[in-house]
Amino acid sequence: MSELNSRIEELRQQALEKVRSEEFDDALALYDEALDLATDEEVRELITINKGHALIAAERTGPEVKALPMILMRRRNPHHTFLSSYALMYTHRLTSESKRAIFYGQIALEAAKQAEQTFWQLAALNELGMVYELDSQFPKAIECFESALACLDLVSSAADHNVSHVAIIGNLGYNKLLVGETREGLRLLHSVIDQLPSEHLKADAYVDLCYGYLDLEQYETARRFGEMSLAIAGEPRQVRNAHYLLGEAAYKMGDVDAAEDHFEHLARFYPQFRHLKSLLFAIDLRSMLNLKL
Amino acid sequence: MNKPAQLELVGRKIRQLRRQRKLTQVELADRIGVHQSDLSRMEQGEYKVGLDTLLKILATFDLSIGDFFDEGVRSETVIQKYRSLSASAQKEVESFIEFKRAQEEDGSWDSDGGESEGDDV
Repeated sequence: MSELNSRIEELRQQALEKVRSEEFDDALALYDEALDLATDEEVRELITINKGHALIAAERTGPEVKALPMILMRRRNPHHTFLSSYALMYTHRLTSESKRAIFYGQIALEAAKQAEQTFWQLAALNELGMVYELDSQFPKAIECFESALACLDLVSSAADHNVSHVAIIGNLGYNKLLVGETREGLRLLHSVIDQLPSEHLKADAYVDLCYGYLDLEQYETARRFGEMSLAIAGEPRQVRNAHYLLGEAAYKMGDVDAAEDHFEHLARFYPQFRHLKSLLFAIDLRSMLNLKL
Repeated sequence: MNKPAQLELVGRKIRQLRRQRKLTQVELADRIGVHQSDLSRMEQGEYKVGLDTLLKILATFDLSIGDFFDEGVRSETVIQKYRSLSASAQKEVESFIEFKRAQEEDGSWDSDGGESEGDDV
């Protein structure tokens, strides 16, 4: 490899590291520097895909994101096909365009299999599972997460193994709850909850546990996990979910005052909805809900 | 029943209310920020939504309990009694209702006209 090519690859690797640590502006600047130096079409294409992915992860757009479908159509090699289709799956998941996300996810998975790259397969399967989950195709989501776990056994990197294991088990556990395999879902969630790396993820997992224990009619336990979720919930979605499920748990326990308090908190999100609180006392909406949306 | 009773019940009620308000699926989907195809699946009890979306839909119709169950205060009491039962007892009640409904409707249970999946596309 020439000195110039070594420098370009060094910049690209540094940028990838910056993306992993969510320092997106630094990453984008490094990609631009690499693009300025690169003349080889294949190398430029790889950097363009990487930069497109970084923009998507930063919830931005740009010419590199718009170039991804064209790069995918070109199918220069399995690596670029995988990376571009994976990035497109990811961006369509973020915008809740699940049908398109599934389309690109299947391409990514196929490319990963053709290239016999286990870690790519694992990544594609986990992401595709999340897309199926958003699309209410829970049995298919479970298949993806279970296949991802099988791939994980073949991955040698201990760091990759641990991070992926926790994420996949958490996803699998939630989907088990949604198909009625409640005890198994709870077992899986409990097995990883202490290893979740952020408060955000823990708030979701605690509310999943609350949902599961409500299903088992273990209302005291459900309430405990609901309160743990509410204590660290950051997103409005998490706050709403926690108040709703806590209201349900309190109602089931006969604690009408607490139920009213939680439903009242929820009703404040919808001031135009005059009958919300009384409606929540009358109907149970849990079977309609996907807590991740 | 293949689908959870509440999922089907709420989905059918949303479809019924949407039609009463003379809204197409596209119009309601635009109003609440979901894809029309997802709204269609939700009305058929095949799609779970976020709590925010669900409450925005119900808020669009400004539903009261009476609106929801069509029978006013009396049904409120019935529903409260139903809600006080255990989950297993609720399932028994749902099965019995399904049995009675099938008896009365002679197999064509969808009083809302059996809207097809491609409605309003």
